[in-house]
Amino acid sequence: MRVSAGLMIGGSCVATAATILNAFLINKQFYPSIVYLSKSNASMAVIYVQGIVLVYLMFQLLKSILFGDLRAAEAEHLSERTWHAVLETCLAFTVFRDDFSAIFVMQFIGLLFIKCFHWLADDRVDMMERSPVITLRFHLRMMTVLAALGFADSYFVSSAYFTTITRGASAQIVFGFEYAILLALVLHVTIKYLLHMHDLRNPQSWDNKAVYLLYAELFINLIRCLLYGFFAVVMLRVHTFPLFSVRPFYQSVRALHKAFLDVILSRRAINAMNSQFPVVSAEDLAAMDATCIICREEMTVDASPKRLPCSHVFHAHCLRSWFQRQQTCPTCRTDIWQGRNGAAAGGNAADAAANVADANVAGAQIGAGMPPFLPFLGHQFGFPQQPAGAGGAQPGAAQAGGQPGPFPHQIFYAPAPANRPEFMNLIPPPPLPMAGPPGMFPMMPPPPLPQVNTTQGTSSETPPVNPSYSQLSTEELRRMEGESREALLARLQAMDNIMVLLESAQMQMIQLATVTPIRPRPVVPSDESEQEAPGPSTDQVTSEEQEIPATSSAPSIFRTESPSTSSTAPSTSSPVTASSTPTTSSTRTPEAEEVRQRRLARLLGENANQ
Amino acid sequence: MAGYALKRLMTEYKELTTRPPEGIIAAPIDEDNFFEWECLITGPEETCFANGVFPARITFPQDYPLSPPKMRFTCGIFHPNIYADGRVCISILHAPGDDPTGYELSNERWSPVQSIEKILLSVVSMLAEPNDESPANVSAAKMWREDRAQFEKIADSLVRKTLCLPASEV
Repeated sequence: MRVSAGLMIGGSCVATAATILNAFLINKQFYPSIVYLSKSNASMAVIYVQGIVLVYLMFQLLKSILFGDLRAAEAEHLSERTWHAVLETCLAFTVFRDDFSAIFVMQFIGLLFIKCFHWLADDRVDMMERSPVITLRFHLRMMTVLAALGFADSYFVSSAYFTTITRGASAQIVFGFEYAILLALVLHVTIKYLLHMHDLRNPQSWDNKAVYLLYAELFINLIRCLLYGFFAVVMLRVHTFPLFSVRPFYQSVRALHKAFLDVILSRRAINAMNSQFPVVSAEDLAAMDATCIICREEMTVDASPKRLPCSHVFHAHCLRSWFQRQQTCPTCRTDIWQGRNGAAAGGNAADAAANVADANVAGAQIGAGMPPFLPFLGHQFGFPQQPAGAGGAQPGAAQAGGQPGPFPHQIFYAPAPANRPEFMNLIPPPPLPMAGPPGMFPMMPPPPLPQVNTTQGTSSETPPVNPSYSQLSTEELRRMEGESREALLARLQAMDNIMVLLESAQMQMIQLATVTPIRPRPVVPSDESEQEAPGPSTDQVTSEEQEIPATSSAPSIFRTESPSTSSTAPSTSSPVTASSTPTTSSTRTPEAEEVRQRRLARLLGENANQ
Repeated sequence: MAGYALKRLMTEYKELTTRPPEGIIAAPIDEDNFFEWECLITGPEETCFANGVFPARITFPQDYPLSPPKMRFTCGIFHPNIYADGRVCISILHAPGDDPTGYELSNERWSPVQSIEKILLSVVSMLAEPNDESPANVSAAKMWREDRAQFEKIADSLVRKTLCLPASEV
């Protein structure tokens, strides 16, 4: 390259000298020679090439003064960026073909010239961190370069601004924005330079330096993107789409995105480290090999070493840098997310605790279920309560049966309640007579008539009963029709008569039941007929005996009650005796015993009433 | 970030100077630039590369040891795991994470725990036992697998070349 450059430079000088000499030989005077050169295209081309060569030589001179020998990386970066810059300059020429002129070209070459120095300064500051030897000359050079570049950029920005204001929109807008972006680059380089200087002065390693560098890069890239956006808007309004600024804009956006992601990852790594990994104490450091395997330096308490879940210890800043790219232990490659799993396990434990709480809640629900369960139990209790209520109803019915007790004429019928339980037990529909006394009256005529017929067949006292009913039918019916107390009492008496008749009917049914099993015997038929003949005679005797106490009790009733009731009393007493006579047969001792018990119950009832 | 890398490299350089491993010499090219190292690797004994001294260059990134360096042999060497341009293809020099092609285990790739000494020892081991399953130089792999004699002959000629000896007349 140098040889070829030398040849080009030599050739250009020779050509220029030849051109000028030729002009002087032809015209032999200064002014005509200048006119000749300016009008000749070939001569001007040669002079232009020479100008470029001179610019190149000046660049090389300044570069050697300010930067010394370039390194391979720096030279490579410079050539690459120069190529891209030249390409963009050609694109800019196409956009501003109307303003194309020698001054325009010179301005673009000047811009490229200054851009090269910016790039060199940027690379040199980056190299500053790589080289262990930093001399005073280095600092002088860097300060000089940064100051000069900053001043030049500011001057050109202000110049473009004022030119645009005075002359109007023109190519100066492009130069203004280009120098503004270069000014941002100078700011970035200055910030990095200051951070590196601060780090070099500090004997210990500065942990937050990387963070500051990251934020500085983010800030500068943001400014650059804003400048490009503003530039695009202005160009679209004034001229046309700035095609030459597309690539730098894309690069700026990508750099901004990368810096933003780096900041996020860094922040995330820092939070993870601070929250999850414990700091190792001085005692632990003394006990173990206190060397960070990443940076190969001794770990001290000041550096706040961190212990991973796998028990490996590293510097906090070393771990942070590593976690930005991999979430594993540098030594054993254990997945640090297992720590997250551990946290998740803790979460599971919390969930287990929540489950326990849920179980408690379930217990509470069971306790809450008790109320719905208790109502069920209440229902169960209520179910037996129904029979209890029924039991209560039965005593009420018993009390209703006992109500006739206080009445005087009812005292004679006190034994009737004693008979009533048996009656009710024997008769399935007990509520019917209790429920509807008025309805029972239509039932009155059919039952007494057949019973009266049967009583007539058995004894002679039954006929007076019929006349009493026939006699009472008119008078008592009239009384029963009314709603007065007397009418109610009459109805109650009629009901009592019905009860007595029913009981007599039951007794007759029992007699028939006892007679039927005797008839099936073939040997006994003759005996049965013989027994039947004396049976009635003995029954009549017993009936006569029973009639005596009945009549004795009747006078007492006559004394206490009215004659109408006394007339009804003998009618009721006669069927009682009729019903008792068949049970008093000598052969039927159990029936006799029952009759005796009834008599005793009646006597006891009368004594209680007295 | 490069500051930590610089300190780490300086520490490793000190260790390599005080306790140099057998058959390996490594040092920065220039004291002003610790991110470019030059090293000499001796061919392993009892192999076709024995008695050879192969120069190589290692370039370290700014975020070393978080990212692996790049290694390239500056002399011509014929090996299944070395590209034609001298770049070394070995698992220890690959970025951490899972291998996209599936040939390497994640625990074989780069880790901050690795060091220059381990890298060079791995390269020596690679010279002794090439991995022909995923070769960087297909021709060398095929020859090493099918025509070992020819492979050893070429290796011997390369060894002589590095030693500035005349080619074998055999």
